[in-house]
Order: sequence, then C-alpha cells, then structure tokens
Amino acid sequence: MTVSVHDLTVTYHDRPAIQGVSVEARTRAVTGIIGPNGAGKSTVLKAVMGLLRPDTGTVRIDGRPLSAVRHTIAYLPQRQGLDWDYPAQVRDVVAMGRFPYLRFGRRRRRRDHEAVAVALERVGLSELATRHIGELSGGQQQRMLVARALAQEASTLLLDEPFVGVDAATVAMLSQLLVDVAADGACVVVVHHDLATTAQMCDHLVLLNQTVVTQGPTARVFTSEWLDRTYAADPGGVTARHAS
Amino acid sequence: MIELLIDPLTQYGFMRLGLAAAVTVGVTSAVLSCLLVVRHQALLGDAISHAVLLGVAVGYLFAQTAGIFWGALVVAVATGTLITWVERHSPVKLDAVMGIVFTATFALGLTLISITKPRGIDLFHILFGNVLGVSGSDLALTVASGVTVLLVVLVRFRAFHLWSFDPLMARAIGMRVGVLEYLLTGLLSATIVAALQAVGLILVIAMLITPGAAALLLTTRLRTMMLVAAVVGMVSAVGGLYLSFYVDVASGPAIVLVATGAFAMALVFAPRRGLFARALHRRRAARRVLREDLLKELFDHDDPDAVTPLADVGRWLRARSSNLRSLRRLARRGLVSVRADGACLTAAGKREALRMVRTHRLLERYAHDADGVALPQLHDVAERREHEIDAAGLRDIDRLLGAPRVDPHGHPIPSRAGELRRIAGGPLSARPVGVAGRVAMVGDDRSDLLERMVTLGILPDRRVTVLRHTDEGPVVRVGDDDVLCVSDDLAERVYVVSGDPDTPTAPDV
Repeated sequence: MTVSVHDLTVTYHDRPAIQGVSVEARTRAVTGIIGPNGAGKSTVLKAVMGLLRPDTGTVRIDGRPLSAVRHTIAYLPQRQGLDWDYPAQVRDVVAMGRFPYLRFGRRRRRRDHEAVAVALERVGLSELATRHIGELSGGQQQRMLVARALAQEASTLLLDEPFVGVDAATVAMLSQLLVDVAADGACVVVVHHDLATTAQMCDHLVLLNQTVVTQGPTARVFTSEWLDRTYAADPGGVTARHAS
Repeated sequence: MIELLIDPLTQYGFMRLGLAAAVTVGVTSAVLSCLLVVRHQALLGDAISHAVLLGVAVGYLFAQTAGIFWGALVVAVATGTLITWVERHSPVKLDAVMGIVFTATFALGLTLISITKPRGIDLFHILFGNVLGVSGSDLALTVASGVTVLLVVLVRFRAFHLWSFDPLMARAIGMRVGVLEYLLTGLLSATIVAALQAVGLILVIAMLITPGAAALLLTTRLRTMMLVAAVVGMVSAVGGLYLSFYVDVASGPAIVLVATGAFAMALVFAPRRGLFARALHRRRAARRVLREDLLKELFDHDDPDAVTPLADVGRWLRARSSNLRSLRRLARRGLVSVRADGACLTAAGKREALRMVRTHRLLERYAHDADGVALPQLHDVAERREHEIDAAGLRDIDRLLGAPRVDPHGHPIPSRAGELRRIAGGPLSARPVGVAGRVAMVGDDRSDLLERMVTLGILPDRRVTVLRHTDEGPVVRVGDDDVLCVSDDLAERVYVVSGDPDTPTAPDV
C-alpha cells in the first residue's frame, strides 16, 4: 500500500491550513509527519481519510481512489477525543476493528474472534480484555487503539499524535510494534510533534509547515538544518519561531 | 400479595391493555435512551417529543383520531431532519438549534390546537399520558412500532456501537453516518409517538434518558447496558401502573417517578461507579497510602529489627491526621508487632516495606531518566506515583531501565527478591579531615537542601575532601578545586565512602 497525496490544499475559513502538499508514504515503512503546532499535520491525515473536502489535490492509495480501499485504512484518533466513560470493555473496542468484515446483522465468526485475540496478545492486553476502558492507563488506552487497527488487518495505519500523555515504557513498546507492523507489509503514517522518538522509529520523514519543507529518508532529513528551517519557517512571514 | 398484582388484570380490561402498552413503551424507550446517553444527545428526545404536539394537531386536522399517529410520525421525523440540517449548514451549535426548533414547533402545535379547538384531543392526556385509556387499536400501533424499533437496533447494533464510540473511525472506514443519524431520529420519533398514550409527550422525555443513565452506572458494555435499561424501563412501567391503580395518582408521572427512583438507587449504590462504592474506594485507597507510608516509616535501613517507640509512631500518625488505629490494622495483618516499648516490623512487614522502598526508588530513577524530573522534585513525584503503580507496571519500568541498582540520589534499590545492599561509609559531617572520599548518596528528605546540593555540585559520585570542621559546618573541597563551607544540616545528609563504593552485605530479610 502506498499512500500518495498530490498537490493538496485545504483552507479553513479562508485561511490556508495546508498548501500544495504532495506526500508519498510507502509500504513497509513508517513515515513520520512532523512540524510545529498549526503546521497542518492532522489536516493531512484527515484529508487522506476523506474526512474533509480539500480545495485542490488528490489522494490515491495504491493508485486507487480512497472509496475503493477505505476498509483497509485504520485511523487512530487522538486519545483525548474519545469518551472513556463509554460503556465498552477492551475487547469490544478491539472488536470494532472487525466491523468492515462483518455481514449485515450477522454474528461474528471464529476468524473475527481470533483476529481480536491475536491483536490483544500483540499489544500485551490479553489479561485486560474484559476491563472497562475507563480503568486503563493512558498507555494502555493507546495500546488498545493500536490493537483495534491490528484486528482490522489494516494495510494503512494513520496515527494522530499517538504518544501524547503516554508513559515511556509504552512509547518504547508501541514504536517497536509499529516498526514490526510496517515490516510485515503495512504503510504506517504517524503525526508527531515530539522529535525525541522520531528518528529511531521513522524510516521516512515529512517536514511540514503548511507546505512541505522537505521529505526523504530520516537519515538525510532529520538534521538540525532542516529542522530549523521547518520550525522557523513562518508562512505569514512575521515572526520566526524556534523548535523547542 | 400475588392477588394484589393479578386482580386488577383479571377484573379490568383497561389494566391489561394499559400494562401491555406501558411495558412496550418502557422497554423501547429505555433501549433508545442508552444510545442517546452514550452519544451525549439526551436532549434530542426532548426536542422531538415537543415537536410531536404539532404533528398531533396537524394529523387530527386532516384525518381526526386516525391521523394522529401518522401526523406525529411525519412531523417528528421532519423536525429531527431539520435540526440535523440546520446544525450542519450553519455555525449555530446543536443545543441552540434544538432549543429553537423544538420550542417553535411546540408553540406552533399549541397555537393550532387553541385555534381549531379539536374535540377529540385532550391536551392534558397528550402531554402527560393516559395509559388506562389505551384502546385495542392503540395498543396494536404501540406494539408494532416498539417491535420495529427494537429490531432495527438489534440489526444495526454494531454500527450504532462503533459510530457512537468513535464517529471519526466510522467515517474513516466509510460508514454512512448520515444515514445512521437519520435512522436514530426516525426510531426516536416512532417511540415517542408510540408513547403518547402511555406517558405523554413531556414524560416520555424522562423515559428516554433516565433508564439509560441508570444502566450506565451499572454496566461496562453497551449491550448489557441496554438489557439493564430495558429491565429498568419495564419495572418502572409495571410499578408505576400499579402505583397509579392503588394510590390513585396519574399513571404517567407514577411511571416516571419509579424510573427516577431506580436511577437514584443506581447513583448511590452502583457496585463500582456509585457514590457509595466510590467513597469506599477512596477510603480504602487513603488507608492503603497511609499503611504503605507507615511501613516505610517503621523500616529502619540500618537496623531492620529496630523498635520504634510508640510515642514517635503516634507523632508521625498525628502529623498525617490519623491515629493508632492504623497501626493496629497493620498488626492485625501481621505486618507489625506492637510491644510495650514500641512497634517493629515482622518478617512479612519487612518484605512489604522493602517492596515499597524498591517501588519508590525505581520510580525516582524512572522520573529522573525518562521524564527528566530534577533531583529536588523526584521524591514528591515518586511519592505520588508509588501508591498507584501495579506490579506489572513496575516490572516494565525495571526492564526499560535495565534493572538499575541505585536511584538518582545514590540510594541502593532493593532487588526484586528483597535484598538491600548496604553502603559503607559515613556522613560528611563526621568525615575525618584530609581524607578524600566519594559521595555515595544524598538524603532526599529535604528538597531545599537538595536544591542547594545541586547548586554546589555535591552529588553522587563527586569527589569530596573535608579541609576542616568549623562551627558553621565543614569546609569542603568538591572535585578538584571548588572550596565551600556547607551547613551541618546539609553535611549530615551527604554520605561519603572512601575507596570501594559498595560493600555487599548479607540480605536483610
């Protein structure tokens, strides 16, 4: 699965969020989109999923339009956007990943139960399968959402700031897991604002600040020079901010 | 007792019809209330039910009594659609749109009724229900719409489940959420119209919120929540109806009051999320914190068999606004033995205390290495976290840090088996003059002094030599050149070893 975004422009209330963004995220790789706050990182993700209508540009996945491959795309929302008092147990949320495979109104089949069990096992939550989701720690909640994407057997994973408010042990585990998932043949795209874990996890980086500053293999792009340009570049041309 | 329940049914046909209608409405609206509650849309039922009044008036105008049901259904769906449409196409938020639309349709309905003065419509019954006046054909309509609603929820359960938990994912995988939204509105409308006779327009609002809210407190899954809500709805219907029969109150309000009672019970007594359970949980947690802290307090690193005088324990407990009862609870658990001259830890108590020390020091290491917390704040951070972390979490941390042997203050971390290494040496304040040594650890009980140590650079692994002892405290050379005079308070908390840093000793326990 290759996600290619071509010449994407999105405006909110007459203000451009992203302009002429072309991004290529390849299969068997973890692609990181990094940039300062308000750079339009989440906007790119949402546009890839067709959650908002771009002014210009196209999104193709393996050369096909989005509508043809939607069920193979897993989106992991920012953890804070979900209602953790919602009446669901860990296994229920992970089982939501099976939705695209289920026939209208039918029961789940053994294949679905197995996929859920395997996904739980991989993120180390098997023992917590019947816990209420509100009783999980931040890191466990994030692992559960990754398990949902695994159960979906998605070939494209889009993660929006997965490491916010998550403990270091989980960050280490999840980044390894994402690297493994990519190695198994998936295309993983992570929106990131924390630079610390980026270099070791991502094969490919897109430095974004309303437009693509640069993109390429991490080794080439993750340099102080490019980062300075990304975090200092002010499209409004008024001030220059620096990366923290 | 049984006769009290059966007699009204055998003697009065209207009770049989009424009971069937009330139970159908109770169960149907309860199941829908779950969807509304988890979607934070409790007021949607409110909005649509008010609008139904307009539908009743219009329907009656066209086809008298026969038109009421269909008029109400059409207007309810139209109102739901209108609300959704305005919300999508204007910057006005949903709550405001609902407020405007439902009061407007309600007002229009009232106006229409006051102009046409239809003889077949009793406004009071429309608003507050008249379940004992249900006719056979009314009941047939009620049951038909109830069964339809329940079937639709059953068939589309997983879609509703996913959509209400994570609407973004629902859209991302290509679910048509607009269709679901209209479907829910349609289900609501059908339920409200069916509930007209039983509880009336105003009181059905309660049945579309209360059972779901009560069930949310009692369950952890949407499907059990719906089952529990259905039971609450049914019990309310039956209870309310008999209440109205024997106590002679209006049936609609009686049904709602029984449901409210059920909610109040759940709010207070729900096993995990009720007020009572949460208060109990808080109390247990507070006791555990106190117990763990007390164990640490009684644990003397130099002499594990030390006996702490009861007066000291009492002072410590009073400072934590507790009393000797906590000590007795520890004794009952076999962690502490209380004697005439004081308290000391039992073997189990020592193990437990060492486990706490290990937890605390590992968390300090973690906060320092992974979160970048500065030395003076470490103790407080670890103190807060140590009562919350479970064994699995601690194992993860230990593995992540590579099983560290000392915390950032230089204190040895007890091994998982509960062995604590001793560090030979003595405090800087008692150090012989002119003998170079290495700081092994620093005391962490006063953050102001730690702050000072950080400033002076007197930290674990630094080389220190006392040049002379003065009244103000020792004069010390730190590293190769800095010469400083430090206070006795500080010097007492700096532990210095000469030569080989740690000498393993036999395990304490």
